[in-house]
Amino acid sequence: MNPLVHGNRSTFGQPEGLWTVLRGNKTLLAGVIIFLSLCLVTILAPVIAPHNPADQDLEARFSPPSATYPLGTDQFGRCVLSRILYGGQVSLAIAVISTGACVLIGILVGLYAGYYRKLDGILMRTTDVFLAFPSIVIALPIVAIVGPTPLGIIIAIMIPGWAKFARVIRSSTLSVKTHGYVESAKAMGATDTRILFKHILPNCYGPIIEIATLGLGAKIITITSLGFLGLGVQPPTPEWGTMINQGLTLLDKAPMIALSAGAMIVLFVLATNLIGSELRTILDPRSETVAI
Amino acid sequence: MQAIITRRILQIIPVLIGISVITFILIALSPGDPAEISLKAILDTDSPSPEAVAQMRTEMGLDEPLHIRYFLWLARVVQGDLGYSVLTHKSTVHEVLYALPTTIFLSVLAMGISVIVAIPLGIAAAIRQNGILDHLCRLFSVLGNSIPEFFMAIVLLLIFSIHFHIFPVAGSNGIQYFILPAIVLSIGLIAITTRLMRTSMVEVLEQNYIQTARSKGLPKATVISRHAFKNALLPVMTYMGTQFGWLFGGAVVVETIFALPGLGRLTVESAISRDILVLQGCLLTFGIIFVLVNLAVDLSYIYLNPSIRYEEV
Repeated sequence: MNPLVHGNRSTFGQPEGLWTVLRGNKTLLAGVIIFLSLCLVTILAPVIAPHNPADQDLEARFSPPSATYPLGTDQFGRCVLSRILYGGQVSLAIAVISTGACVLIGILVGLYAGYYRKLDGILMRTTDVFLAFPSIVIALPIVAIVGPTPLGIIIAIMIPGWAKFARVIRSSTLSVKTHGYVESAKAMGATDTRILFKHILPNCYGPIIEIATLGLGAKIITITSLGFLGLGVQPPTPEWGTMINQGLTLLDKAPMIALSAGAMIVLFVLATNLIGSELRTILDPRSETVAI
Repeated sequence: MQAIITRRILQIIPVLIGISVITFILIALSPGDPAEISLKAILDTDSPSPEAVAQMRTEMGLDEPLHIRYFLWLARVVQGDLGYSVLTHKSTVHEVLYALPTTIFLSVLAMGISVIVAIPLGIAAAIRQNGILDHLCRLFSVLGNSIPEFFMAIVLLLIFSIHFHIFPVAGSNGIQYFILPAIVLSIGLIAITTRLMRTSMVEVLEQNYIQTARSKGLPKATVISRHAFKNALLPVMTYMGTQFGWLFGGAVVVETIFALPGLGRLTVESAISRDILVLQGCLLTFGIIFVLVNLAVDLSYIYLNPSIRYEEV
């Protein structure tokens, strides 16, 4: 039996358990380190950024990397490094909030669809409908209608995004609910709600963490793609995708704008893919990684 | 088998209805009067009279309650009437049908590249597990999955079009304009398919009938090409089939960067200019294509594996 899924779920809960897993798995460790450092530098942007991201130094437009401007400046003489760090705050915050919302909706839909046979048909057919569109295709009209604000983008990503989570959580629920302890909880007179949230849900945490990590990377790609297409968070707010869009026309004068924003995206998605795929191998050694 | 196929075909009906409901609701919520938009196109004027708009609203049933409007709209859609573009004043159906071949060609090309690259690579990695090639493939599949299409496109454009002038930057008159976009689009799929082909091959190579073939003294190449390949390929092909929809999603970004006049670029352009009726047409087309492709994949799977008991998963 797998220690992360069944029975001993302290593996993630206790620091020493987590550390043992990390020490034994270099790939997972690398992913976690990249992930945490990226989160840290963006959260600490107000402390470590050398300049205010909106400050314009028109004397120093398009200046190459230097001690004052480690990644150079853009067409308005703004510090590229500071904009990258602050831009990460916007991209990451949207990704975390929308992934969190997707996980919550996915948990509700997945648990109920897996537990109640009567609800299964209608809930899963609804899920199929949302899975029938590539996420960016359904996000585009929503942003067009709601507007390219952070809230609009969160909604645009959330509406198609929950479906994959619902499907994974449903299949975990289906397998968990056949276990003996669910039967015994039922025999002891536990209500359905209690069984769902106290007995079944905690045993789905493994797959949930795994798909949430992979989902975070996928959301970053969708968010920055929207930004790149001109339908993301609007300038002058720095955002990685928008910065690449702006930097594209300036590739010959200030290649660092597009390249460094792109590098941040790649690093972040790489970290989530490393963590997600290793978690999957730990949780289910037979399966091979297929990205969400 | 007949019953299974019928059931699978019937299954797409609720999904198609769901797709139409989503498309309808999204557009019903959006600002802008479809009656006014249509009149502008039909009369070729920018300011149709309020009376004409009111009459058009009644004709299109726009003053009815939402659920009635849905059925009226659905009836028009079934007859091929999806309204008109605000920008070009052409019909949505015309715009979509004009753009569709580009996207299909691009996706098929990307799929072809993926098959040609990923399947031999996956087999090679499976034959020499933990060899150099296997490790390289693993690295490539992690990286290939982590680079967004638009960034990959920029990097390849910089290298191949701007620096070495091997491929044209943008355009659509001829296959040379499609090669770079198709490569960009295929990389994510190659990354996943290579891993999948490797796993599938490793699994097959552990089977008893492979051991039998080997112990008969057959050369390794024969065992792999005659005995293992076909069995390992099937799950991979099924997976790739389901990824067509995913390719269409990637096409949205890739077509925009390389200025290919396909459905993806049409979606982006109509979203930016809030050309709602064209956007609706694109959304509907993406959904329907996805459902039909998945149906085709499932049916071919049933056809290729009559022994597999079909279960709804």
